[in-house]
Order: sequence, then C-alpha cells, then structure tokens
Amino acid sequence: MRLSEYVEGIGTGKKLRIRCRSCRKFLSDSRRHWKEKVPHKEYPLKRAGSLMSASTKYVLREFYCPSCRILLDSEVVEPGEPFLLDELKS
Amino acid sequence: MGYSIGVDVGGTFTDCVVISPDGSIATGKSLSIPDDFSEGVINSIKVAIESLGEKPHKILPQTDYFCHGTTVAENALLTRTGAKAGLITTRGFEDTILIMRGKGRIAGLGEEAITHPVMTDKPIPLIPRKLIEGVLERVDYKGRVLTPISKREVSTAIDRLKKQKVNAIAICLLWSFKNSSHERFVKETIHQMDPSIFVTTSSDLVPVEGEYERTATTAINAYAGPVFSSYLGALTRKLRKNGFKKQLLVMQAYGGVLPASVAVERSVGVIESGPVAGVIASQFLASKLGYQNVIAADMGGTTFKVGLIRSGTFQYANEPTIAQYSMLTPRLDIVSIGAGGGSIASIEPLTGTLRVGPQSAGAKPGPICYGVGGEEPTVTDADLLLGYLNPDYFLGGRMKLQVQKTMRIFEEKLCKALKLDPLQAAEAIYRIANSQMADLIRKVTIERGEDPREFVLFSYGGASPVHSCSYAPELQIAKTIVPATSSVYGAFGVVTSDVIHEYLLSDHLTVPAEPGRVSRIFSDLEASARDDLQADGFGSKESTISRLMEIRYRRQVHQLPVPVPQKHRLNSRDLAQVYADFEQLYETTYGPGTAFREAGMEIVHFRVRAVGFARRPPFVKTIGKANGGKASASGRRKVFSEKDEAFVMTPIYDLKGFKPGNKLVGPAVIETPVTTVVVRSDQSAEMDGYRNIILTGEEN
Amino acid sequence: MTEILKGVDKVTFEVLRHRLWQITDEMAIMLKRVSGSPSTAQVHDFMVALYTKDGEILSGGFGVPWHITSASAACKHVAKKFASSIHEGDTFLLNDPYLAAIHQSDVYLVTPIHHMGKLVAWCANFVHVTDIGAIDPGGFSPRATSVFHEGMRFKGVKIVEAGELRTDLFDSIIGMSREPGMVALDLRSQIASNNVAKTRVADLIEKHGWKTIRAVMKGLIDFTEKGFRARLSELPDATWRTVQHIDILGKGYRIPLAMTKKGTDLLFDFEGASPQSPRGLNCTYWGALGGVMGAVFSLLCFGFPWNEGALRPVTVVAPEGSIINCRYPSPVSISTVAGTISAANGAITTISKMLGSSDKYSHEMLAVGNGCSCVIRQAGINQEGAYYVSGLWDWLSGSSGARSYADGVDTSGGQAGIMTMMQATNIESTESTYPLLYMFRGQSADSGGPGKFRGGVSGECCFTVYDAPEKRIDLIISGWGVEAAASTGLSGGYPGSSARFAMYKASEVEPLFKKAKITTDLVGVKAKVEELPPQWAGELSEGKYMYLRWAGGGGYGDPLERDVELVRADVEEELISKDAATGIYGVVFRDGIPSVDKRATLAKRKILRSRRHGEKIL
Ligand SMILES: [Zn+2]
Repeated sequence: MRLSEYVEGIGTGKKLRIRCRSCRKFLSDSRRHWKEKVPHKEYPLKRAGSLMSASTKYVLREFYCPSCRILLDSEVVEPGEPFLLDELKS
Repeated sequence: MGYSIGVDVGGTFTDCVVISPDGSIATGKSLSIPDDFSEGVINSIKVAIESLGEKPHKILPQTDYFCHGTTVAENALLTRTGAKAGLITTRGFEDTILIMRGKGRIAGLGEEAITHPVMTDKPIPLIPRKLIEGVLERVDYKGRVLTPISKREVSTAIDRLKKQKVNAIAICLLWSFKNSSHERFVKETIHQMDPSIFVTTSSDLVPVEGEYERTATTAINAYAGPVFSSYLGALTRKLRKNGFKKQLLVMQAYGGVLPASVAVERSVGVIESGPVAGVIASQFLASKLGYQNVIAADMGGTTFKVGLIRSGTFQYANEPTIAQYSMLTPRLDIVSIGAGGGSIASIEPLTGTLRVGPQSAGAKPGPICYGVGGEEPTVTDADLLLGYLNPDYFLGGRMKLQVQKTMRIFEEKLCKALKLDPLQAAEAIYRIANSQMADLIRKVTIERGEDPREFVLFSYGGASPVHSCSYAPELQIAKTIVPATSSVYGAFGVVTSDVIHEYLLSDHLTVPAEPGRVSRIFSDLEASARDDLQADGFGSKESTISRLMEIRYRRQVHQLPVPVPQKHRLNSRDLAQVYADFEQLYETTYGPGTAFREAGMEIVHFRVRAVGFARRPPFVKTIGKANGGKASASGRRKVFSEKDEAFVMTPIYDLKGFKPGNKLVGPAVIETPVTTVVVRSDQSAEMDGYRNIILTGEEN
Repeated sequence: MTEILKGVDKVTFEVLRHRLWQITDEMAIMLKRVSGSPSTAQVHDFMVALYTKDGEILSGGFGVPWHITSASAACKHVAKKFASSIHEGDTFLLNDPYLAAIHQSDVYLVTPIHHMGKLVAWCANFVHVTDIGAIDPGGFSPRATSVFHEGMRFKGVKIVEAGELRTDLFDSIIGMSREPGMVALDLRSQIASNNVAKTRVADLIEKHGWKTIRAVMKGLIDFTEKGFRARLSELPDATWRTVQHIDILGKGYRIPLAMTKKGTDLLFDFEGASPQSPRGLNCTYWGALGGVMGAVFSLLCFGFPWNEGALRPVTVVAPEGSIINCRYPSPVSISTVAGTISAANGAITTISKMLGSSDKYSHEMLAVGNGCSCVIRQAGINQEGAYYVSGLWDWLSGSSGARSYADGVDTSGGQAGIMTMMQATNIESTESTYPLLYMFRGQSADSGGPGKFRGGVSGECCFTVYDAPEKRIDLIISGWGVEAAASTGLSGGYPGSSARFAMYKASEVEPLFKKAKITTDLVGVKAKVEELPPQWAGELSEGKYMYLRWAGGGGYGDPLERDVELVRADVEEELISKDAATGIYGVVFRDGIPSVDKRATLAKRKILRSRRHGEKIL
C-alpha cells in the first residue's frame, strides 16, 4: 500500500511493515515509526538553493533510505524539533 | 460591376459564395486541405463557378472582390507549427511574456479550471526563453528617453537570434506606444542585417498600454506571420494564374476585411475570424430586414457561439484571449460554451444525474448515429431519437443515421442509471443542452446590460434551428430567423464584409487637453486613412472615416470610446462636449455613481476607423406567387413535442417545396440537406422574400 | 445515492446547478465593472457567493476562497442579530474579524433574498477596500498592536434600507478612509453585485417555484457532501502532520497541523500553535477555518459545487489565544496573508500527503506555492499632485508548488498556489498611475523548490520613485517568510525560496541601470544594501531602490531523481542556475554550452547520494 512517493506499507495492524518503494528495503515495523529508524540529517536551509534564507533558526531535515539512499522525506523545522510523524490508523 | 466571391476556410469544409453582377448567388463546398489550404480554396471556387456552368478562368478576371476567411494562422498557433520566432524586449523585462501577469494559467478558461487548480497549466511558450533578448534602453511613461538604445547592443541581440536560426522576430519595448523610436531602430537594424526575417513591432501592431498583452499580441503575430504570409503568397499566385487581377481581401476578427498586403503584417488579426463571418452575415441580413438588435447564435459540432449586434453595430470583446494569451487586437465579442451537436451526455456517478458536455465527440469519432466510431451519447443522437433529424435525409441522404445502434448505446450508458427509456433520456439531453444555451445567451446579454427580449435571434450552423425553437421562447425572444444562406453562412458573411482599417495612437493626455494637439493627432491619422482607402479603390462616396477618443478616469481601469466631431480644427468647446459624452457614457455603461470623478479624466487612445463599403449584392426580394399560401407537407413522422411532452404525428416539409410567403403552423419539421428547422406546436413559421425562415411564437 | 435528490427532477437539478454558477459569475463581473479599481478589476481581490436562508454556503463563486466560509458566518450573524428587522431591499455591511470577516479591509456586504415576503436566501461579497483609516495607509498595518489601531470595524449595519442607500451612514464610512472616493466606488460595486444576485435568484424562484428551488438547494449541498465523503472513504485512515512558520522581527511563530482522517471525516487540529503575536499577523478562528477550507475546496472538491457540503465532514480546531485563533482585541489586519495563509499552507500539505497515500489520487497532490506574504502598500502624492493610497501587486504573479507528475506552474498567479484567479498588474499601468519607475521585473532563477518535480519559480522586481512631487512616497510592507521557508515541499522535495525585501542606495545602482547589465539578483552590485525586515513602514525616496522577491513553490520528490533532460532545459530557460543543476540536481555540463555530460552526471549523482548518511537514532 502506497504511503507516499517513496514509502509503502505491507500488511496491516501489528503486522504492518514499512519499506522503500524505490529499492524495496524494509525500513521499520509497526513498533517504531520509520523516520526513527532511517538515517536523517539536518542542514542549513541554504541547501535547498542559493535564494534560501541564511537564517539558522530553521533547518532542512532529510530522511534517507539506508539502502538506496533515496530522499524519502524532508522537513523544514527548528533544529532538533521532534520529527513530523504521519501515523496510519489501522 | 463584376463578380464578388467569398470563401470561408473551415476546419472540415471550405465554402464559397459567388455573387453574379445580376445579384444571383451560387454556392460551392469542398473539403479543406490542411497541408495546403489554398488548394481547398481553389476547389471550392471551382465547384461554385461550375454550378453556374462557367469556368474559373472565365469568371475570375471579371471578379472585383475576392474576400476570404481562413484558419491558417490559428491552425499554426494551436498545433504549434508556426515560425521559429524570437523576441527583443527591454532588458530587465525579458520574462514578461512568460510571467503573463500570473494570469495565463486560467485566462479564458471556465468554472472547471478555476475549481480544479492542480490540473491547470500555462500554455507552452510560443517563444522559449533562449529566444528572448533584452536590450538596454528605457523610455518613461511620458515617452521620454531615459536610456538611449545602442546599435552595438541591438546588433549583438540580433546576431544571437540569427545564430539560433529564427525566421521571425517580435519587438516589444516598454512604453513603445508613447515613443516608438527605439522599436523602429531595432526593426531597421534587423532589416539591414537580414531582410528575410519577418519582423513585427508592437508600436505598429497594437500601440496600447499594457506590456504583457502587447508583447503577447506581437509575439503571436510574429509566430503566425511567416506561415500566413506564405499561404497568402500561394493563394495569390493561384488566383493570378486564373486571371484574378484585383486585391485579395482577408477577413479580420474585428469584423472587417483587409487587403492581403496589409493583412500579411497582421496575422494575429485573422485568428479566430471564422465565427466573426457569421455575425457579419447576420448584421447584413438584419440591416436588410430592418432589425437593429440581433443575437447571432451558431451551433457547431463542439461549441455553441453567441455574438451580439446592438443598434446595428458590433460589440467588441473586453479581455479577449487566444490559447490563454491575452490579446490587444480588437476582436468581436463572441462567447462560446462546449454545447454543440457532438457534446457528450454522461451520468454523474454520485447523484445519477445527467450531464451534457463540455467533452465533445466532435466530428471524429462523432455522434453514435454517424456510425463512424462514436460510442458516447451526444446531443445530435438525442435530436435523432426525438425525431427531429431524418435518418434518411442527413446531408441530403448522403449519410444514413443509425437509429438502432443509438438506441442500444443510450440503453446501456444512460437508461439504467436514469431509470428512463432511451426516448426520455434523449428528451433530458435536449432540455439540458437547451438550458445551457439559454444560460449563455442570458449571460452574454444581461452581463452587457441588455435585455434578450429586445433582440431577434439569428439561428444558424448545423443543428442550431433544432434547438432554438426551445431556448428562444425560454428567453422570451419573440422572433427567430433561420437564414436562407445558412449552409454557407461564413462565406456569405465574408463577401458582405466592409474593408475596415483601424488607426490608433496612444498618447495619454490629461483632460482638458490642448485642442490643437488633438486636432493634429486626428489629422495625421486621417491622412493615412485616406491614402489607404484610395489605394484600395474607394472614393469618398464609397467610404467613411470616423474618429474616436478612448477616455478613462484616472485610477479606474475601464476606458470607453467616445465619438469626436469630424472637424479640421477642434476647439475647446468641441472637446468639452466629448468629455461630457464620456461621463454620460460611463454612467450608462457601468451604472450611476460608478465614476471616480475626483481623480480626473485622461485621454488614452485616439482612434480613426476607415471603412470602405463592400459592394453588397443587390439582393432581390423574390416574393413568390403563392403569397400567404400554405406550404404543403412532404410527409409525416412521429416527433417529440415539448409542449405536449409526448411524441406526436408531425408534418415534415422539404425546404425545396417552400416558397416565399408560405406559412405553416407548428408542430412541424422543415428539412434541408444541411439544416433542420423545428417548429413547436406553439409557433408558426413563414418564408420571407429572401427565403429566410422566420419563426414566431403563438402570441405574435 | 439517488435519495439525495428526493423530490427533484434530475434534469431541473442539472439546469439549476449550471445557473447558480452563472449567477455568481455575474456577481463577479458586476464588481469588476462598477468598481473599476485595479485591486478589484485587475487583481481580483474579491469573492462572491450565495447562501441559504440559514446562511449555509449554497454556491461559492469566483474569488478568494478563504472568504466563502467567513461570509457564511457573516450571513448567520446578521440573520441572528437583526432577525425580525431584516426586510426586503436591505443590505448589511460587516467587517469585524472577530465576528466573521478575516481582516477589516475585506468589507462584507450581505443581502437577504426574499420570495413572497419570506426570507429564502442570502448573497454576499467582499472587496478589499482601498483604505479603512487604520494607523498605516492601505489597511495592512504592521505598526498596529491592537485591533483599535486597525481602522473602522463594523459589527453589521444596514447600509441599504428597503432599497434606499443610507447616505448618512455611507458618508460617515467613507469619511473614515483616507481614500473616500475609491471606497465609495468599492461599496457601490458591492451593492450592485448583490442586487444582481438578488434579482437572478428571485427570477429563478419565480420560474421554477420555491419548492423546487429549495429541494435543489438541498440536493446540491447533499451532492457535494456525498461526493466529498465518497472520495474520503477511498483514502486510508491516518494522521498527517506538517509545521508552518511565520517569522518576523526576529521572532518565529510555529503553526503545527495534524490532520486526521477517520472514515469520512476530516479533523484539522492546530494544537501547539504559538501564542498570539502583538502584531496583526494573527487570525481569528474565521481566518483559520477559511484557510483550511480554501485548501479543502481546491484540492478535494473538484467536480462538485463548492458549498456547505464540503464543510460538513470537516472540523477545525485552533487553540484559543494562539496566532491561529487570537483573542480580542489582538491586531489582525495582516491575517489574510499571515495566519490564514499558514493555515492554508498546512492544510494543502496534509491533504496532499493524504492524497499521496492513494494510487488513484496521488496526481492530485500539490506542494505549497507563494506561501508567504509580500504585501506592499504605497501612499503619497502622485505625479498629478494628488494624495493616493494603493497597493503593489507584483507578488501576485505568484508561484505554484510541484505536483506528483509535473513541475509547479511558474509565476502562476495568486497565493499559496491555489488562488489562480489573482494576478499582477502591468508595469506600464503601475508607472502611469503611480510615481514609480521599475528597474526590472522577472522570474527568479532557483526560486522553485528543487525536487524530482521542481516547484514553480517566483519572481522579483525593483523600483524607485519617479516624477514624485515630494520626491518620496510611503511604503508599508506587511510580509514575512524571509527567514523561514514558507512554501514547503512534498515527498522529500525541497521548499521554494524565501522572500526578500531590500533597499539599495542609488549611487551604486544607477550606473547599473543606465550602462551595465542588470542581472536578476543585482549580483555584483557594490551598493550599500539594507535588508529590510518584512514588517516595515518607511519611505521610498529618490536615490533609493526597493527590491522584492516573493517565495517560490515547493518541490516534489528527490532532486537526484529529476530527469536530466528537464534539468538541462531548466538551465537553458534560466529557471535554475548551473550551480544548482550541479550542486543540487547532480547534473554536470560540458563547458560553455548547456550540453549534459552524461558520464560525469552519473558519477556526480553517485557521489551526492553517497554523502547521504545521517545520525541514526536508535
Ligand atoms: Zn531504498
């Protein structure tokens, strides 16, 4: 089941597993949100382009597939702010 | 006086009307040839002339007027097969035509686009960014040069475009309508460097405020120019070969014709001129019949189009668009919706209600009943099932309409969901399509402050008179006219068009303006107007010149044209009257209290219009002997009657058996090979002296 | 499903559906014709709609969609407050943001529609009036710290009584404005617009009978609700989250949004939103609701009439005393382009995430575009020697967010990427009306958020005073989004560019304008540049050049997944720089010409990918 461009769910409820749609690598199971399991990194906003603010008040946070390294998701947040976790209700 | 010939090149057919010196009319129809439209033109002329028992090379040398309308330019635009065009503009403003003021995404589109923004896009650029060159120069709002243009800059820009092999260049600089010297300089430089490049400057084409719209208009002109020019060249050669000696005239979207030598520079003006011809034909007929206010309604395969004639004159569009680009060239105000014969009827899955359009089956795959691949129920199919169309007499019997197949598909696709039988479904489609047409006419009239009840309806184009019998009464329009020439109505409109030259100068003058300056501006414009009329062969008795000033209140966007007296030396009293006329016109147009007087007025445009009158056919009334007599029916069949809400046995008339003065009382169906006229049981029909059919309601 | 059309002939239903849209269309045309002001006639800062007798939305028409719901609140308020004193021919004026209107400049005119003496429906519209007598000219008031600084505020007055304009009241209202003449035009256009609607609806009832019309009204609303709910039922139950940021004056405000879909209901919860601001960026609840519903209409209700049915499955929760639901008497004059846009941005994002979890609907996703305010108002003495107040609408050339199958639309009009009807004015019309001269206005390369599909690019412009009798005018800026990135992306796509406001000193820019090349970002200008805070009131005087860049659209997907050919074309069309092509998209060019070095590109993308490892939290 598609969750976003690069993330999909297999199974339901307790058996739900999340995997990368690009390389099919399993990222997490139902006990942990996938964003908490994959590599992530915070960058200055400038990473998104030269016209981006140079402020350090906000960061661009990126999440990658540990296997194919595709950019699974990104967030514009304050540094260290909790992840934006989308949750399926099943 | 010699022959007059009018040709209308449409998407499918090319129509021709030949008017003999004695006023008699011959018509011809042939298939359009998209690879070489000029070939189709010649074919249609042959058909028409041969129907007179003559040959083109005999008739063309005796032809004074050859007017024609063509889709060549719009075809190039819509299929993106125009020139490789470049644009030279003021540096810093190169993206103007790409930004489109942020309005290009929905300009000219309707409810569906506005309420589904994700799916909307700007048009693919006609001139890509790499073919746009900015040159350093600047003129201010008063026309003063702030930064002079430099030869070196301009040459470099032209060189870069030449390297990319452009064959047309549009030039549009900021404020060029106030001071055109920089644009002229660029144009001359291009001519010096490469005279083969097609060049168009915004100050020649549309010297009007508004850099986005002016650039877009100029760009389209450059884009379509070379294609249009080679088409006109080919056609002229073919006509010359057949002995035609006079000027070829070309239909313009503002409702007149221009000599090919002028039109070739203004291809943008011919785009979408097709529907205009129908409005002109209606204006001509209306003037003969003595009607001042006309709604010209044209129902084709994919759209229903409406134009207005008010007090005998055309109405111009307010914010015209072509393919989502906003235009400044004047265009007749013709509004359309996707409600034509090919409009598809479908079921809205949630409510189970019926929808008609805006998708269309067009000519291909077409309605189901044509049997050429159409599998979706359409308005034409409904017309067939309701008994309005004769399955054995469509296109004079050349195409058999398939009733059984239509019934079957109606059953499958509509009836189950609607819990109706196929005939009831057809009735529903008929009602919805008619209500959409009525809505459009209501919108077009009421929006412009008009009352549809004060208008006569001219109903033409394929299935139009099948539907107008229903929507005209809904709008309380008392009289509907189905023109005798409706099968070649476009060609008829073209041949009855006047030659119209427009001259315009933009010079913002604060009111009160100095009378001497105003007089000089008009004198100069009129000098060119007189020269052009003379070159076209019009004497002062066959032509007229009129003056207008467009005035606006500062800080308000609407500007209105006001007539100016034809005096050589205007004085301040003359102008004071013009200002007063403007103030009055503003309030009549937009309502009391709508003027922001405190801001003051300014003159924006000076316009001169030169009209050379078309040598229109004498148009003899042919009152038949059976004046007032009854027409005799050629047969009877079951036809749906809206008033009785049931199928009733209805007399069928063949138009051939109709004579001027013949009358009939509905219900009836009058058939011709190309048109079907439905007369409701509360209406009567009569043929007038010009063989037009006139429908009136019961109370008349 | 057909029970929703109980008692209505289906054909009549379709006929009337078409007719109602036409009526709102006519209302819009009347506003544009009568007012003739640039803001209404060219920029389209207005809204028109029809409501049921209870004030439920019947037909939301052309215009700014935030206002469809709050004008409904205005109808409901007037209906309750005036109850038995509502008569045929009355029209009410209301602009109190704490009752309904989103900010004071958007003045609502609400007119009851009667049939045989009985109230049967309402029509309403707003236009953004030229000036409402606030502390700053033009209605957006960066200096206001309380609603009492923000100009006139009406809780509903009868401006037209039994068909007669109350001139005493009218004169008093326009007298409170710096621009009485323009405001008079605005109000007259609004009255004319409602009069049209009133006549048309009355004609409709006359023709079809009240019973039929009433059933159709109900049917239309039920139709939209059913359709909307059916669409929702095809999507998974889940909670989707985003956070938007408003930054000004060194202060940041968080606007988190959690959207939960359960069955066929949608809950938008702004819990955790920052406390209200001392400045007018706040919105009242109506602003939050309007922002959310603008996104709901545009992204989820295509194909259905925009009416109350779209509202029924939706709940919006906004914590009281927050920037998204402020307490009286907090200032709110900038709310439409601050709190409300943020609410819309958040809703666009969470709705798109939901659509992205469905193969059937993923092509309906939209990243945020033109996500923050770049409102500029101007006031002063014009070249004719008269005092004026007006706006500058260049930023409404806009930008749209990327889609899941295509780039965002460049300079696409309007705000947030969904308000396609709003647009900029021509520079020639600005220069001929106001004492200004533009150096440039163009698209801004690299402003579109990078992604597999790029966000639409925004634009930038630069202008100075010109032919100004006082050699200066006032500028009032009510923007934000300079430090934050308001146009957020989707599925990994990067945000669109931040906004920028700057003032350049003449001696440095002038030679550039006259002689050298004006590059798009004033690169290489050794001028003294003052970066302006986005909330600013000051003067533009001769020798100074105001620079503005509005926000680009957010991107979609991984930039390294972008088709190499699209990157090449973007460079050629000056939509992205070569630096961005290589640094962000990993596309390497051979020297000189924009021809892609395929092998080097593969290698570059591999390197960029290999650098993607983070701090893994376990
Ligand atoms: Zn992977």
